[in-house]
Amino acid sequence: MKLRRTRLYIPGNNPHLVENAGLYGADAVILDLEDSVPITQKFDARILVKYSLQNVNFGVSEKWVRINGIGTPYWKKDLEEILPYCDVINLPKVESLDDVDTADQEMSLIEDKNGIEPRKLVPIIETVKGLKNAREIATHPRVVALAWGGEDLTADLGIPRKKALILDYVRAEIVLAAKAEKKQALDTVFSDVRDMDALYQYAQRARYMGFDGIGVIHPNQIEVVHRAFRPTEEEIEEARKIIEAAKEAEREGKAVISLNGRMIDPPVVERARKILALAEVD
Amino acid sequence: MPINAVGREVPSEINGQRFKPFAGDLKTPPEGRRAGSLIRMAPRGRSKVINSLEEVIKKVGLEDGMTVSFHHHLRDGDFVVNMVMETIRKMGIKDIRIFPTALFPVHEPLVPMLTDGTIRRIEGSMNGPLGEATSYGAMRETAVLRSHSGRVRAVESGEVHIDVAFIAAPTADPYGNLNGVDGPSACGPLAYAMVDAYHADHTVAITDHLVPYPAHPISIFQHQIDYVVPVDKIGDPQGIMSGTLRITTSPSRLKIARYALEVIDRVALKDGFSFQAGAGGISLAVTKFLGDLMRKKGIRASFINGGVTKYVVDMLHEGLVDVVFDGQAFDLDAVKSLKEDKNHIETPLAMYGNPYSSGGIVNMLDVGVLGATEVDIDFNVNVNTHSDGLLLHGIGGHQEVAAGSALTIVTVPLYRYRVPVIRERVTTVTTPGEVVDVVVTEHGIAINPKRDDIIESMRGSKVPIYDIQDLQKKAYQICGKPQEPKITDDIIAAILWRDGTIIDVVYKVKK
Repeated sequence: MKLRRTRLYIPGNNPHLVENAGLYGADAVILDLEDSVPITQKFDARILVKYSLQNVNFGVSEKWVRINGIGTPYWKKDLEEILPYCDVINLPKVESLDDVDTADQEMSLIEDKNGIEPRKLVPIIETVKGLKNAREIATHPRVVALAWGGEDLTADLGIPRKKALILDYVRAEIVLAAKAEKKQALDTVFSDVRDMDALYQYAQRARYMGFDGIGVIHPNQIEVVHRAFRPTEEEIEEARKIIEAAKEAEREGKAVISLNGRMIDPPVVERARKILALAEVD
Repeated sequence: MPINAVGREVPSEINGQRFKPFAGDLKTPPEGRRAGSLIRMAPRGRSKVINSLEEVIKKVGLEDGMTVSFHHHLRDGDFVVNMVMETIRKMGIKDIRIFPTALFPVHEPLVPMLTDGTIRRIEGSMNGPLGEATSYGAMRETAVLRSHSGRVRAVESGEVHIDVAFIAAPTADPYGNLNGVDGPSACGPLAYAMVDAYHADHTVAITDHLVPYPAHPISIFQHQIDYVVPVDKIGDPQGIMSGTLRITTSPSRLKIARYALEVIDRVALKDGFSFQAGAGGISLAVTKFLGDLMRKKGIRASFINGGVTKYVVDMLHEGLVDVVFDGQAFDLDAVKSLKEDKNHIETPLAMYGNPYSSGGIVNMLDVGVLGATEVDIDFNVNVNTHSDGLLLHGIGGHQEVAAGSALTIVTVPLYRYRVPVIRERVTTVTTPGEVVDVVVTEHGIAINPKRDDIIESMRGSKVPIYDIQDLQKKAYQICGKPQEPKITDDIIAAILWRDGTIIDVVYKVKK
């Protein structure tokens, strides 16, 4: 599965930031046409993003575009202009499977017209209704991951973001909805770009919550988050032993894998594989 | 006009003085004997303390057409240059040649003196307004720019003779012992001024911290100082010390620093290695990251040559480096350490890198990390002019560090404000490509093809490696082909290589 530990948000109306976006080794770069672009610049940003996707080298980063939500007059035009040149569509304010279907149909039309492979979709859950329907939303075959947004959700609930007690539940729900469908779960951004220690804690907590990555809003955050998502030395050592035990069981034709007298279940072996794979990534 | 070894057309004569064209580093051997100064005497009982600048200027016999020198340890906080030059102007003395180690924006009051007859020319680095005014043709004669060590060479060889050296002294005693580590205007070492104190016909210390005899420690000794002038203030501490310098937070600059670190790690990092530290944004980040890496790998450096900052001092205190050589201090931690730490050594500029001596510190450097305003596809580096042709910066120690270091790295962004930094031809050559090994940008690095060993060491690295032409093309793709500067045929400044040959000239810019 593609690594999506970091997705770097870049305002689609800022050519200087767009130009350098690929230099920092984020797993994904999101060129944003939604909230960071004022209404008066929607048109210009769309054109800038379209040409940047074709001309800028994004390096190892997957190319995402956050288009405007399907409740706005912009989203269809956004898709029409940029879909052929990006890898993933990040769709905000998704509330139901119907919303995903609507986007999916439009995307299919454009893909057929341009003769291109189907693009992936990552919906953003940021309303109470969306949260309620998250499990259904995750079932759509085009959806590869679920992301969520705190500001709109807490506004929808009428509670201040910083004091909201419900967010751990929301996080758990997003992870469960995504994982039940074998999709990735992506946590929201950490907004203090100066406090790298707090960012590390935040990212590590996201990892242990079950998320596969978080959003980043500054290139300096990328290395810290990748470090936080890197398994610890103890985890790596443990995983090595498990894989070794599994290999040994296979060599000896045993059905049951055991390590230090304990039985190892197949999901544990699978997790160990994932840990080692993640540890090998720079 | 002859064409020199970097393909630039240069004159054989500047201000009536003969100069050879640049022929390649150290391809022009030195000739003759070291120059001397006037022999003076100071009988017992004669006071050296003079209470006014006007009086001291009369005493040393400053006349029309003479040469006065200054050091720049007080940087953009210096009051002494303006104070002395204003007195000279009021006294009606004309046609002065100023020979500073560097001038800064604070010296803007000198601009009108370029046209009122007080100053005929400046031979030294001009950062900011004076450089700009010179670019537009304000200076009567041609400016001559030398590197720090090139300046020492010029004095020692007699190429420039100093009539009067005015030496800003953060601490002085009445008999002329000076240091820079004490007093309200403390600046650290007095390294730049040492050659002037030794070679000028007359020497005047100007201080705002007169202490009883004998001052200690002593950087410049009493037998070289003729007069001591106490004044209220020689500088503004805010402009002298930058405060603790902060490492850049720009992600692209940090990327450059990390790439440079990777090059150092693969090519030069080993126990006992040495490097040149600086105070620029990227340079500071490299120093900090290098310290982190040395700590992690358990590596110890033999010496750091500075440009000393808190980051260097911390490394010294932590035992990551054995000795710090100090020609310039950038913050109060550096000043304090110079005063207190035995293995933090003040080094005369002559020891730093004079190519025509029995060997400078730069010859012992393993790694030098430098900046630039432009770099071209022949690895030539410009640090003096901007792409619009304006002369806005001095050479500093760029040439000798580049020429001396075993590994010379130039760190630059690929472009600034949509103007390519990597280009086909630099506006001005300050340092020739022959002494530049690796150019590091945020997009990747380029290695000088003659350095097979570095190319080999970098094999397998994750740092993107390009031909320098490809970096240049990349810059042009993003920014477009840069416009040529709008210049005339009039030469306003000569850029000398460290050996005293002309490496390039700077032309007058059209208004």
